[in-house]
Amino acid sequence: MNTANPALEFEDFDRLVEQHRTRVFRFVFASVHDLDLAETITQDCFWNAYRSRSSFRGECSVNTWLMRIAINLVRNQVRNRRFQFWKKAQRVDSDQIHDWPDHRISPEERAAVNEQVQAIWEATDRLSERQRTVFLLRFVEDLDIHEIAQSTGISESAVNVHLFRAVRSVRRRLGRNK
Amino acid sequence: MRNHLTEDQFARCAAGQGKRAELEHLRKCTGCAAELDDFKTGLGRFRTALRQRVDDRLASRPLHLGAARAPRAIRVPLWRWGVVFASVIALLLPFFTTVSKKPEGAQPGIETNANAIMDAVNRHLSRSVPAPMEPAFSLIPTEEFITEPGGVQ
Repeated sequence: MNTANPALEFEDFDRLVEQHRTRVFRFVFASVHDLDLAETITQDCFWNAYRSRSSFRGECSVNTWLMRIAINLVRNQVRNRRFQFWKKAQRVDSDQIHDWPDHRISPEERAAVNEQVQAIWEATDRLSERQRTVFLLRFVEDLDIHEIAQSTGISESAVNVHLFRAVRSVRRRLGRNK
Repeated sequence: MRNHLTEDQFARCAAGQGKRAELEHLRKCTGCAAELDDFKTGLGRFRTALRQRVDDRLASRPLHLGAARAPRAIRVPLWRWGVVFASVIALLLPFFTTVSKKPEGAQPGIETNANAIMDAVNRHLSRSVPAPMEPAFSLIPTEEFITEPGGVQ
């Protein structure tokens, strides 16, 4: 969505927020596994975007640009958390997603699906930060390799390397859970 | 191509970047195809569950992003301010107590004026009863006596 005048993208900032907030919030939540924290980071993401809107040159889509800001914020959060070992110790079980919305299937099937979803959720938590980012952008946000490379600032070949490693790792963990 | 896809080949296919030989193998090998299908189904369910979770959250508690425009206050816990305040007080307290405390045996100001010094010496020498073993030049500052030739010497 490269427009002639990139500043026009930010004329109606409320509309822009409305358009992109769910996607940003979802990616951040999948990355940090904490809804409250995801809300704070999403707010920061849009605040940073608003502050630095003049630096947006329209070289990529607004969505990619917002994702890049969100990725940086998540990275900072993960790094900060690494040093806050006491917070790790206090950290209660992260938010869960094991409530499969389809109620037409039997309770047994539903339990199996929930288990599978929960296993992938936990497997993503054990990926490295970069692998998790690439994995989520590809399989949750449906971005292609080029968009992921733009969002993360790494080359397409590096994106592929991280993606394949992430898939291998998740598959191994799923195999262990069977 | 061996009997089944390797981990790398499987990962490539799962990411939608399988090569022709790998895709050909998937058409023939029901085991690999079923495993890949199962993996992709799992990812699809994961995506659906995640989206549902986020939608539920946003429905029950919408994001207040209007506040995102206002600068966020730096949230420092109150007890940290207390620690900082106590540390500053602890550092400054000895300084103030030593400054405000006057030395007990403070000597009176030492005269530097030549006439005043001579008056003091005269008064000292003309006392009616000098104390025994009293130093003769106790009123003359030591530094001045040493460093300034032509002073009281």
